[in-house]
Amino acid sequence: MRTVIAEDSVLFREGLARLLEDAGHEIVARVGDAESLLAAVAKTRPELAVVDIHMPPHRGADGAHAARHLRQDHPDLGIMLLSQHVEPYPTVELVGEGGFGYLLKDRVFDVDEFLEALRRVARGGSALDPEVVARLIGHRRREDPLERLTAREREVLALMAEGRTNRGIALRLVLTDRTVETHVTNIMAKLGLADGVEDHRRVLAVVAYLGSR
Amino acid sequence: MVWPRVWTLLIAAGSAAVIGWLVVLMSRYPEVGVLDTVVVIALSLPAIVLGLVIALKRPRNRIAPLLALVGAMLVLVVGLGDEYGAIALLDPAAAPAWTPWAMSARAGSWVLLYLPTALLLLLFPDGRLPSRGWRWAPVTVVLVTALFLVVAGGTPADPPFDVFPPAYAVPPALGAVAVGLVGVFLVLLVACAAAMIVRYRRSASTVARAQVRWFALGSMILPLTLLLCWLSYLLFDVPDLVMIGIGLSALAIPAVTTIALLRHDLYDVDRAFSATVAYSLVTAVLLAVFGGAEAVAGVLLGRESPVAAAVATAVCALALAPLRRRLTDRVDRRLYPLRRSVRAALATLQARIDTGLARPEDLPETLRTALRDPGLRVGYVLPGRAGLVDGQCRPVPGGVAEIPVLVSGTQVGALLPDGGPAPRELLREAAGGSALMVEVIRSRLELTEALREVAESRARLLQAGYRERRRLERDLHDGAQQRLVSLGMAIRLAQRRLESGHDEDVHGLLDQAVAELGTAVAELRAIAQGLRPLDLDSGLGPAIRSLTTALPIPVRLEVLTETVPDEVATTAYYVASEALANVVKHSDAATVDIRVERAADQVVIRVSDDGRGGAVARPGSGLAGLVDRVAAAGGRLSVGPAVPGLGTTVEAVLPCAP
Repeated sequence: MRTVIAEDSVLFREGLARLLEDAGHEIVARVGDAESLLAAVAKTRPELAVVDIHMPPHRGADGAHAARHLRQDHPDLGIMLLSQHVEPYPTVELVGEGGFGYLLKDRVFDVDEFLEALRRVARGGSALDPEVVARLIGHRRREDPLERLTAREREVLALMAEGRTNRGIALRLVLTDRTVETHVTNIMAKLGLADGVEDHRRVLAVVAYLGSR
Repeated sequence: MVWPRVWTLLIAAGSAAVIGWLVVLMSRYPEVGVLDTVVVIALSLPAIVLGLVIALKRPRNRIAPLLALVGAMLVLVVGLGDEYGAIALLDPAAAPAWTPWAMSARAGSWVLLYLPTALLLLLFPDGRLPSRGWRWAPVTVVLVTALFLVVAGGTPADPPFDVFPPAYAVPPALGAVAVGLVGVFLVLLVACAAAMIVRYRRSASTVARAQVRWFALGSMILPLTLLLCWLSYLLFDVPDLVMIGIGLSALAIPAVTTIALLRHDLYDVDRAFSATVAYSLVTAVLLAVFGGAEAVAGVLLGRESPVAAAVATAVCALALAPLRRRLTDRVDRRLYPLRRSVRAALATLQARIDTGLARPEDLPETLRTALRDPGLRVGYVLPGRAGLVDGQCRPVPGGVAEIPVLVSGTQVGALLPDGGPAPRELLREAAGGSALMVEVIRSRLELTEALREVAESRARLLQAGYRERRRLERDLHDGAQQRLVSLGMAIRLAQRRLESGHDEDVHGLLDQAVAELGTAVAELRAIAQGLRPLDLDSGLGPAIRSLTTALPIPVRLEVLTETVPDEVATTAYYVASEALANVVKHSDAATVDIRVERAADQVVIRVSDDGRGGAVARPGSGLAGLVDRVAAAGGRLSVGPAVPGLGTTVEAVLPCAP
């Protein structure tokens, strides 16, 4: 995978680069701010950009803004936003469009999971940090339709929201693909959502549903 | 050429000549009785001298020659006239041929005594008539005076002057006219007094009104003279007491005229004025009561009975107290209504406050209405604030017109009049009457101000706390947290390399990881130090000493050795730290002195340098933050002196239970 890394902390950037290189990916550019990121992507046409949300010059949501620009100019580019903690910036809507991920930095410690998430995003899939999903689901209100889901169904819903495929969910929960499919169908029916074929459409539906509650 | 001044000088010179002549006459005829003449000269001098003073200070003022004329007429008519008449009577046969002419001139001359006074009434204070409609008045006064002089001069004199036949004769019919002329003259005098009242009513300026009031005070001697005349007849059957009245008027009229023209702004006349009127009326009524009672008792008990006098006196004594109170009240209402209105308004406000219908804060509005001064303001003295503040704690400019409000000798506020009609005397009375209310308002203001300051300081402390947390969050986020993530990643990398057998670089990776760990530990330590200085664990003295070790300036340190409570020590440490930071950054000082002392139930931290000085606790500065921090610990911080060049001393006093 041809990858650009945008991260102002040299330490983290170099560590991440080495990790990816060790896993057999090619780092085509390493940049430290949003502007260089846009330039580097335009020049090197990578498959994936790993972007820190906090970058100079403003240290605010520069990474998130850059991600939106990249999405417009390069629809096929996979974008993985990283941040130190869960940000209030509305990045969630990007998740639904596919080819986008949002993870906390310490997910790197689970190297295989992390690399899998990167690969999924580069292929046009999604990755939403479990922490974010937990917050979305944890946000309860009265007469919550989520109450109608079984515990297992809620587990499946969370994994769906993280952007995992049925196969991924099945592996994670040690279930058969058929069982997962049944769960998914039930969940979508209970929440009144259309059951799409494409994974990222499904994520969009789930996340939008959770976010709009 | 300034005519009024010239005239005054001429009149004064003429009077001097007459006085000189009188002195010559007195020495030549010592048998004529010197005392009366000396008294008259003495009485005439004030008017002449004060006329000259006014002419000197206000050369264009036409009152000056008139005032001098009052004295001149006295010395001429009473002095020279009487002296000459007495001399002529010594030996009527030896009198020179022109004596009848002199006697004729002397006959009606007493009317001349009233001429300058009448003109003063008409022209005071600016030398102009109240309006063009009054032009007839001075002309008529002068004409009537002249006519009276002519008629009186041609009428045969009363004994003993009948030895001199008049120099000329007027038809006997005109003799009756002379009596009529006296009546006309009296009416004219009343008209002149009326002119003064008209002027008072019309004048808009407080100055002119004050001047007229002053003059009226002096003019009241004239009706008083009448009262004295009456009293004199009652007591002695002769009008000799009148001389006291004449003497008083000779002194009082020039005195009040001068004060009114030159110093009216210095003294308040209103109280004296209304008191004079009130007591004159009391005297008049008492005399009437006495006269009536004595007459009735005389009829019943016999004319010369001491019992009659005693009865009359007793009746007067009984009438005196209620009479005085009522008359004073009435006169006050008529002549001095402001005073009444102020007294009544203050009493009403006090009553309404007592019953909970009003608040002391209504005082300024009450005073504005009662004193008819919409611009009047009340200022309050607040501790720690230079100058006066209004009810909203905004500074108000004081000034010369400011009337201090005192409570047991200490100023708690001031009335600031804005050109209202009230004289200073009355304002002082109002200030006295509102002192307690001002003190209540002032105390409430002080409390509100203190609470506001506390609220503001609390908000600032909260903000400072948030800022500090934000900084800590950023320090943690950008520093230690970032490093720990990288560290985790490096260890994972090393692990994966070991697993995959590419272990050539693992040693380097682990070295790097340990180095990161060391840095992260150091950063965490720095953050912890920011939360609470760890040095304080070994005591305030060593902690402050460690602050000074890195300073480029020599430091003299004197810190108490005993232990103080942790919160006191922490605050003291921050005072020293911030003050030292300021010394290093701004002062250019050569030495710094740090002292921490224990005094009874407080700890005093003083950091002084010999540098540039002029430091102040600007809002948002480190020093301002320190002020709040010290205030939160219950202490106070002072920075001074504000004068540049004297160095800076930062001193914090912190309460600390012994």
